[in-house]
Amino acid sequence: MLTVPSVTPDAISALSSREMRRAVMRRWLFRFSVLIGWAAFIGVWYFFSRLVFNPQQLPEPHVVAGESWTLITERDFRTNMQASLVRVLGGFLLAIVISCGLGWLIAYNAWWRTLLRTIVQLVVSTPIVALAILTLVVFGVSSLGPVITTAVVATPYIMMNVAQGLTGVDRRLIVMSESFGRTRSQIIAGVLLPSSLISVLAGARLAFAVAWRMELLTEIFAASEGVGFQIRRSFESYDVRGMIAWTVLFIAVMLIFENLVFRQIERRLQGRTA
Amino acid sequence: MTDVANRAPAQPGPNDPTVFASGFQEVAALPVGDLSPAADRSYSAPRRVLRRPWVVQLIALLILLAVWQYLTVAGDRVPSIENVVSFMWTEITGGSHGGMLLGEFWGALGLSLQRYAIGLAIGIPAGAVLGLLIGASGWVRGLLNDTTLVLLALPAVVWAFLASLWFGLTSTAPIVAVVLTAIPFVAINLSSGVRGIDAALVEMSRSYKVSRRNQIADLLLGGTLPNALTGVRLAFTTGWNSLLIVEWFGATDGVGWRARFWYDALRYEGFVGWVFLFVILITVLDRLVLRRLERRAFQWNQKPTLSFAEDWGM
Repeated sequence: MLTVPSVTPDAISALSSREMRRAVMRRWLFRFSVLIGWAAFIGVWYFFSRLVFNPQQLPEPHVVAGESWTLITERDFRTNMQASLVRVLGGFLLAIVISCGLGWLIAYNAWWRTLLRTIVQLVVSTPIVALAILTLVVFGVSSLGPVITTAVVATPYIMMNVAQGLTGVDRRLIVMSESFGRTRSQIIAGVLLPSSLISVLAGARLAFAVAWRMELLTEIFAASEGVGFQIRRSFESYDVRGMIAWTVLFIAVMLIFENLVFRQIERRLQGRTA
Repeated sequence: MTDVANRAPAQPGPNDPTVFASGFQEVAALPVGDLSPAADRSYSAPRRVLRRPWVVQLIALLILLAVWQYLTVAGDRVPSIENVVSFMWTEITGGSHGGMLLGEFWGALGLSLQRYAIGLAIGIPAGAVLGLLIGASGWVRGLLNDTTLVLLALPAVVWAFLASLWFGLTSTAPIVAVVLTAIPFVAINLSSGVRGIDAALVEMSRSYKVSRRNQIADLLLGGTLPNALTGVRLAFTTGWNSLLIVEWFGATDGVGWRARFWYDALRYEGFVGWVFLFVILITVLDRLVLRRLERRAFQWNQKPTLSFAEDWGM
């Protein structure tokens, strides 16, 4: 038999306040350790650039920060970042357009599903270096190549979620709209699109993360402007400072896109459907 | 929900690969590979042949080859299929490419695979230790989690460039690049596996005085193996990527250098042939070894079948 301890209200409040204090303590300890973690990260960076390598091989954090700031203020930055962003977004939008068609086929047609599955399995398991180099062979140094490759790599992720969104639509809604005499285009705009949009956006975020990595790599091999090209040029002229600064700035811009833009759209959509 | 979704949980089995959408979103279930004989009876015989899964896969491959052939004919840059095959045959058998240029294959491949293996042998255990620490303790997570995420956000190219600037034309550069790309993938996945272990199970095993050894074997290993294998698989694929980049830009030997060599010599058939070898190698490793292991490790874990995305290889 279990012995049940007598529980008084006082005991409960004493217990909970102690627990609560402990939880607060734990939270502060966690925040403190995050702070220490960042300090340690920067400290290790200094250690490596001063003692393991020399500042030319790995510049100190403050030097990289200064270099990033000068880059931002220069005109070079805007043209290159713009070129890269246009390619990422261009490839991404192209992927969305292709995905809408292919996602439709996957959702409703078993033959196409099997066919596309084989192709997607091949594309997805190809190392992105191989894709970047093949882009160079097929398109040469051009601005079209990176866009196409980015689209090819991003398409499977969006396509998949378009298909998932479409099959997730409540059949009864469609039947009901049909019996109320709605046209096909009205059903698409009023039922299919809104109910699959959230699923599509979830895939779009992942696809965007894949897309900008692919685009950066393709630019390193096959471009004459853009951030990837700048990173390659810095590498070839042994300018580690510029290389890290360009990388940091590019990642920052892309993460802002990923986290702010997509999350905002998602939140707004969720608010509407809920 | 649709009929498909309602049917799905009731009869999961190898013959009815109905999938659950996880990974992306828990919205819908799609049947995969559902060109089933039962549904085929309504078709005429020739159309039924066209609907056999392996025939469809063959058609997919033929489409890709046709695209290649089109690119060869349309542009002057893309080498034809038979040129690539015959070039690689000369390369593998060590014949002459014309003049003094001899084919070289096994030496380059062996060297690169050796670098790859050493890099992974260092990177995966290091990532595992990091992941266990981050997963097991709150303050270590606070300390190291952000750093690991920063390392994860850096593309493999940057690691490859840094490694080849730091270590020059040595074997150290590719090895270090593989190590640095492998660590964060293993660490992040393993730590989420450790954090996913049911606290109640840990509590119970403690109160039942389960031995330390059994706790580690059954709870820690059993609970984290699927995540660990996912991390290892990603470490293998991204590590291969960064090895090739280092060898392409900063090496005088290895498979990446060999591909670059033919590219610079304007022998695109050699270069394309090597790129295809990279793809075949990592695909064989990924599909035949790593994914099978991962699938087996996930089997006990209430996941009846593959998710849609997993089945498509993503």
